[in-house]
Amino acid sequence: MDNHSSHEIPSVGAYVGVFGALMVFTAITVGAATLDLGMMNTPIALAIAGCKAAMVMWIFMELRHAPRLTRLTAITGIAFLAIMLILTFGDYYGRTLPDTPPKAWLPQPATAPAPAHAPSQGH
Amino acid sequence: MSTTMAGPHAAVPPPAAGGGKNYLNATSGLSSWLLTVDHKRIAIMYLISISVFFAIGGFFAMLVRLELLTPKGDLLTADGYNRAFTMHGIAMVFFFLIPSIPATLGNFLVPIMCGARDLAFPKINLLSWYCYIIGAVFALVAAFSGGVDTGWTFYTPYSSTFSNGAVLSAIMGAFFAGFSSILTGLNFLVTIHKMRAPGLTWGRMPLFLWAQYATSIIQILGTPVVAITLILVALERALHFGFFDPKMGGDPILMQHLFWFYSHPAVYVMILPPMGVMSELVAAFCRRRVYGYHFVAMSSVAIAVISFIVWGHHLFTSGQSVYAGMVFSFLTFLVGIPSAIKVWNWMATMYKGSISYEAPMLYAFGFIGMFTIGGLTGLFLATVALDIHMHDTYFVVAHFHYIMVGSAIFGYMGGLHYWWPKMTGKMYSDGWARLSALLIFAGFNFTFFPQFIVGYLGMPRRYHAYPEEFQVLNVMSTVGASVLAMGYLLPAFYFVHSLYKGKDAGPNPWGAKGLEWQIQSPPITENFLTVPVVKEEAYAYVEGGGGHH
Amino acid sequence: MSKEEGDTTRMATHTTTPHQPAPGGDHGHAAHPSGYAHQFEDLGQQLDSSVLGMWIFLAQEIMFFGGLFAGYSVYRWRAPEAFAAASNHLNVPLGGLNTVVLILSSLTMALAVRAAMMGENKQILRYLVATLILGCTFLGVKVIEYADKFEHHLVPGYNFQWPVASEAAGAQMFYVFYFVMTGMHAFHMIIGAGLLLYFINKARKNTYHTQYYGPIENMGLYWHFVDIVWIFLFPLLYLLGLHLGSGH
Repeated sequence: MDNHSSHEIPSVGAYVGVFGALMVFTAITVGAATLDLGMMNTPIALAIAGCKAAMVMWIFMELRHAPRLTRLTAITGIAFLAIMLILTFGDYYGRTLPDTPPKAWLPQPATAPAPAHAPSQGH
Repeated sequence: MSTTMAGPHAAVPPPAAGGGKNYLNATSGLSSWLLTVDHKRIAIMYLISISVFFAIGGFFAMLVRLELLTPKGDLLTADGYNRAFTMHGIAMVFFFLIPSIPATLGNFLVPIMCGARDLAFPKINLLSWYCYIIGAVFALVAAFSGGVDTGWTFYTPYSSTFSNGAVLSAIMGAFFAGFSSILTGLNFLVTIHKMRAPGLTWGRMPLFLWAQYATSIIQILGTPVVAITLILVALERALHFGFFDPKMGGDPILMQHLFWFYSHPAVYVMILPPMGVMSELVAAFCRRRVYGYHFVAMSSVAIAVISFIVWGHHLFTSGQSVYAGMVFSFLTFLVGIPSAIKVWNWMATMYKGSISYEAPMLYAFGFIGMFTIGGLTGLFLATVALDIHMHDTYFVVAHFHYIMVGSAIFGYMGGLHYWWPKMTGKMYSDGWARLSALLIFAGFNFTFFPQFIVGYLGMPRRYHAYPEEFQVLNVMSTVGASVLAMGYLLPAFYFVHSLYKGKDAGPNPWGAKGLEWQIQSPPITENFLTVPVVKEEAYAYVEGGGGHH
Repeated sequence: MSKEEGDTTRMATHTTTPHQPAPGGDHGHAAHPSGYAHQFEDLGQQLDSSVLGMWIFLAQEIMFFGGLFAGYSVYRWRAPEAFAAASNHLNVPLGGLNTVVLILSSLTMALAVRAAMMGENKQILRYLVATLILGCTFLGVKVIEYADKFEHHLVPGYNFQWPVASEAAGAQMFYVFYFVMTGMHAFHMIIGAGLLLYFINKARKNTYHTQYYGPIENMGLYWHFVDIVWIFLFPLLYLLGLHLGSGH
């Protein structure tokens, strides 16, 4: 039944195989970091880490045999983390765009108009 | 439809529970309470604990209101006033409002409404109460060692560098209270998913359960973010790890982002459970199935999800990018949709219902009006241009008190009056309860409606002195607060009185539907002698034929 | 979360169950199988509930560490050169060694859970002890690394010194995150080690059987989660400046 954990005994081979793959990926991530790939270094490192994490979750943490609800729980956690990162970065990216108010804590050029948006307390 | 219950007052007699045994008298002695894993006893312990903090928070509120009676700062110094409103905020937000309904009514009712013997993890439930108590001790230490003057939001760099209050202790208090909230949410999610009785499908769940479910999602996904943020602030203060220190390349606004990522959803931790209570009250006292049941249920979940994408509206004026501000403004308006769905559906439920006017229903009426005012003024503040005018004025204070007091506490009080007979087996005096509800309603509006006006006129919040032209409105506010305080004191008397002199309530004094009304009052430790089987929808009242009292 | 109708475990099997647990399996004592907690209908429901509870707890943990990752990302985005230069003072061989040690401990932990599903308490014991030793190795290496940072004046707010003035603020921020992220990770490892000791003792007393192994499974989930955090920390902290050549 979809909603219950599978109680069959997983094979040792899968675990050892994942361990081997994780070792290989660790070597690749160190190797890739020694090359200067410009702005691609970090995305590649994160992609490899993501693959490793997915393998740990899928095999070691047995999401492959887990009920739908368990998988949904894992995805929900990751999705809300993504919401936090995207909206927070939206602010920091927005501040680099033109026509934003001057950053209040930086010294202002003498000609600039007084900042309309002083730091304030929260609601 | 109904197979297990007929009309009101024809409730199935409670399953014979040998010799009047119930969860209150099953065992005795202090350790039988402090080491209990019974969700009902833990609910009672939470009820007592949060009532203490409600009194503490109320005491500081009275200090604030008394200071503001006159334009000059004559009762408190500016510094003392900062400490008074901060302690008011910390006590009320972290130690009363967030645990209020989930930890008391939720703890008591979620397993019973599920038809279960207990929550999924009773020991973790007890651990949650101890986390709360550890946090409470930290908060009291902070209060007695001079208080905190940062505001309940702990904004840096003030909290990390300049404040000379007991900030670390208060932060630890909030941190532990947060973990008690996480553990409660975890328990509810697993219980609602895994322990519902046969036949209790998602589409038959009482709306209170739906509301608790949505609340738990916020508790699980939001609270840890504020926990780590508070740790970072504490480390910056104690070890000079300058996370939010511009000198080290840090950004104080990042602290506000992380703080409000939890603390805005936390508002919905406070308001979703009362919305669940509202649905129960409206159904029970109008003797109708809640109109648009599925929409009301789904709107709870929608509010929980949307609550996570609106936090930037707290940062409109603090240096956030205007583009982010515009996006957050738009997203904030979205919350209005599920909120309005709820209000319209409650009113549609009342329409042509046979309404009765017992004390819990009076709170429900109050809730609808107050929530509408609080919610609509929230839309004012979600508008960037208007917020730049009104931010940090009493308009904001009035807005969120209409949500947190006018709605959250009205829902809490309504729920407490509704389920008190179930929790204690005794009826309180309905006359006194109605009087108290009216006093709270009148006092509340006299306190906070003038603050909308005085805020719109430009009186800033968090100052102990103000220009003389604002005095009339401030006197009204303080007088209203005194009436409000009397309204809150009355229940302490008639509730305690009911324990000794109250009439026996019987299993179902309101003639209401729901699993909790089919068992004896107070329930036995195991709640049910046999696992109940649910064969009908929630609120399966016989319409038209359900003449009440 | 899941909204599908009727996924309660109790619906399918019991309709009017008397208030006593259903048989927990084929191991003889039907009324109270060992490990059974009274609020559940049977051990199957208990296992499902406890594993779901652990996953929900881990979702909470994702957000807890997520706050740190959000801060790290924002600050690194604002000072990429300083972060890369600061990263070059971390010891990549030791970090790499710890990565291998921790992944190996995840393997032994997974094998311990497998042994628990088979009810082999001796095997559980063996694999848990191996996991504990590997976890302690990780923490030992961490102590060596921390001590090195104290010696080289890389502890923010305490003795931080940085030769290049234009990078000093960003580099110090990098070390703030280095200490708090690895520190919070190590704190989770220490909690995990304590839990391992508890379960080692339980396994010694032959507590687990084929119907009751939820606690070991949850221990495993927690341990793997801590491993995953490290899988992200290693490239994000140690490998930023590798392509720039060694700093020391």
